[in-house]
Amino acid sequence: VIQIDAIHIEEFRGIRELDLQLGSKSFVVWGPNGSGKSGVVDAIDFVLTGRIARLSGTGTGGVSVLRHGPHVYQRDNAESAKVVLTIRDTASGQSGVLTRTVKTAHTFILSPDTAELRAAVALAQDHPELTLSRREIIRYVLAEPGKRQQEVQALLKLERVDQIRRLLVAARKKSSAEFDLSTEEVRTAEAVMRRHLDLFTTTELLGPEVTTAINKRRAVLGLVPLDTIAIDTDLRADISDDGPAFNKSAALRDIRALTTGITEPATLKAATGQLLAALDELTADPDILASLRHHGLVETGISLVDGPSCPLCDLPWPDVQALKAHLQAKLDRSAVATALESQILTAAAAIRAELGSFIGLIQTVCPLAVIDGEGELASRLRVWGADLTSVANSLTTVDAAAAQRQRITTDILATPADVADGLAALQATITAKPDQTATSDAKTFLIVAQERWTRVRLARARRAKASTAQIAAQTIYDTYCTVADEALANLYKTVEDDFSAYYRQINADDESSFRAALEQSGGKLGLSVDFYGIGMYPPAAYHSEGHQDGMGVCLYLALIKRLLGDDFRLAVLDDVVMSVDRNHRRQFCALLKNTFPDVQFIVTTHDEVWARQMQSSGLIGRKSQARFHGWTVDGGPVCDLSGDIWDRIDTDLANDDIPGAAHKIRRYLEAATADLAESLGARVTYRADANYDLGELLTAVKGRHGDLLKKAAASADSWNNTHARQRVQDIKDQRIKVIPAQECEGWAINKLVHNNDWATMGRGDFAPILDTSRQLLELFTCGNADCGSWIYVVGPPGKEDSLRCNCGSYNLNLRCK
Amino acid sequence: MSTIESEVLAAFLERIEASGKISSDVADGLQRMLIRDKLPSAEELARMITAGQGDALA
Repeated sequence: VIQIDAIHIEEFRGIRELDLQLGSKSFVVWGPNGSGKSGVVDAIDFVLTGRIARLSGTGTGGVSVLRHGPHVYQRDNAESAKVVLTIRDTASGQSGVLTRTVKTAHTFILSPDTAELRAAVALAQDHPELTLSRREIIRYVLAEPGKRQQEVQALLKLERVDQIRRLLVAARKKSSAEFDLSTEEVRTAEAVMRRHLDLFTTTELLGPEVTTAINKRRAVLGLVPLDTIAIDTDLRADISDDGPAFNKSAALRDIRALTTGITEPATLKAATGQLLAALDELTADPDILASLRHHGLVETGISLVDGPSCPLCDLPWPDVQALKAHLQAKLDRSAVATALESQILTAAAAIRAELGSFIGLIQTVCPLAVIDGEGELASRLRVWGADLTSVANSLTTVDAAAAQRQRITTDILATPADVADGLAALQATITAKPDQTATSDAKTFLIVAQERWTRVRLARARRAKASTAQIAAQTIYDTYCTVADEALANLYKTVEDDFSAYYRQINADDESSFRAALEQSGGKLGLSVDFYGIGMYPPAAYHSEGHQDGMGVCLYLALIKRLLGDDFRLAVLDDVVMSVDRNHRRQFCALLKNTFPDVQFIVTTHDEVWARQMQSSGLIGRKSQARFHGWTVDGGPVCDLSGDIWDRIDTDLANDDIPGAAHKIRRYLEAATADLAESLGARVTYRADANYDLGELLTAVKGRHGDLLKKAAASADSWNNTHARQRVQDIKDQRIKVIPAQECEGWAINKLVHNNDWATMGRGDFAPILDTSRQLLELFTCGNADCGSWIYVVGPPGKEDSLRCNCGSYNLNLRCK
Repeated sequence: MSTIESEVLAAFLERIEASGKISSDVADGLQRMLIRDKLPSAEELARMITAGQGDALA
């Protein structure tokens, strides 16, 4: 986890060049609105994440880091805009330099590039929420419950919890749909089976009706009946595999068709008649046959004629026209031949079709003859079939048809002798056989039943699997919801407790019993808060806007603490603290300082009082600040980087800038005495406009300080604490030296406050004023350089417990024995 | 995956395993699929759950 030692910003947003030394400690950048403070926040956001939160989100359309990240004068020179952080990894103790330019915003340079530093940078990069702006704090408090859930889950990086929840819901639905589908498959498969069994019941398919239907067919085949039928029962059990069943009526139909075809081949005779007529025409004119043969040659010859010589035989002709006329006459004769050829081939095709039918019948009847032992008939049929096949295959050309003329003229079938008698005998034999149609049907029935029974079995298996998957998916979803809800409930309880505790710390004076409730329900996260013990209400119901802002900061801190745990070491709060009302700033500073002692807070504020409050409370060290006075386009922020007020005044004096030094000490004395009056409980006359006079405040502070020292002395005496007695005496001695000297120079202070007489002063005149003022304020300051806070009273007026500083180095007991 | 998300997922897988209601194949599949950066589709997840039910009945 990184903390920031130093920042170097160049040509970035409103900043031309700026260096801040943070030393891995909390730091405040303060100045009026528009002085460039947020440029520092943007720079940190950018160097850590490559993005600028301010340039994204609602209302930032058309704005981008690349185009609008660089200073306006460098808008076309993105490479010049860069931010360099000197960082320290709190886990490994390693230091390094992290550089990112706007031109290559997606990546960064790390030196040295060690795994530890890279991991620390990656962690910061994954947590843009480390930078919190004022406009963001309230979104957790005032958001609608559904939106708050999203915001909080996004901040806590819980999106995946919901993603997985949605994924499991979708998977559960898929499993349910799969189960429904498999159930429908079972229903369909059972309906198909039921229809096959001719059952119209809706009872379980394993009932006696099924057994009855199956056993009825098994009985036809002479098979043993099945006692019961299970889902895996083989319905075809014991069926013999002895070839196709004999079908008497079909066999007789086939024999009669072949016999009829032999004796009454009417269609065949018509076809042969047409063929013979065409062949007769062909025989009558031998030139037609020649023309047919020469047709292609002559056609080619005409296309090749290019002179009075024949391209086919080279014979000379008187002219081209005569040659072409000769060839065209040949083609005309061949056209007649082509028509005759078509007739011949058409008739031949008809004969082939008829012969094909005969061949088919012969092939069907032949096995019947084999079955019935008519081997000779079968042999004759096979030879005859082969002969007819040969004739049919030959009838494909005019020449082949002409060659078969004799066969066609006499008897194209050439039925072998005794075939007709053999068929008659076969018909008689088969007629005498018993009818086997029933056994064939029964066998087919059982085969089909088995196929459908298998389908039922597989469908039921798929349904059973889908059913267990559906239950599993539901169990998985329920378990995840339970675990996630428990985890989130615990998480929100932790956040709720921390949030309430933080808010109570800030508002201990009037809301010491404050509590909040974060309630998760149906994707929403409700937030209700206690209102002065009267009841629980939404934050916006009765609390002021300042209180709501305070809740926003507290809720943010509670969430970020839960998110990062021990890794919470850095937070950038951009003008966030000004939301806390004036009366609770000290407590807020104490909360940050005491509850998050290891966190480096980088805070911006436009409120000077706030900046001083952070310093006086010890949250911010004296030198851990940068004050921005104003801003110009050309120069960027006008800033004062010397952290300590006395250092800055000394610098003014060194530069002979007496007016500057006088202005600073005047403003500082006004602010310091106001702080001290509050921290010591000094009494001043109440003013409704809170515009107290410096002299009045100073007098009250000095008087109260003296009174408290008297109490401390009395306490030391009562406890007989020599050491404490001496410590009080030392402070009193110091008072005796400092206060008269300061009062001696009081005239000058008054002039500084009320007039411009400092304009006539020289460095020598001013030095005593500066020294006495510094020594006076040191009376009320912890001497520990790392602390430097104002001293303050613990306990209510009249019952003061102690006078102490933030670190405890200055600690005087005020209670007597 | 954030720390909290990891904690939720780990607790879920532990609860699933301890329940004994989910087969080890499915539990392993859940761990494999839900831990990776890109979550599976609902179809992939449902297929894995179905496949994890075994084929004894078929």
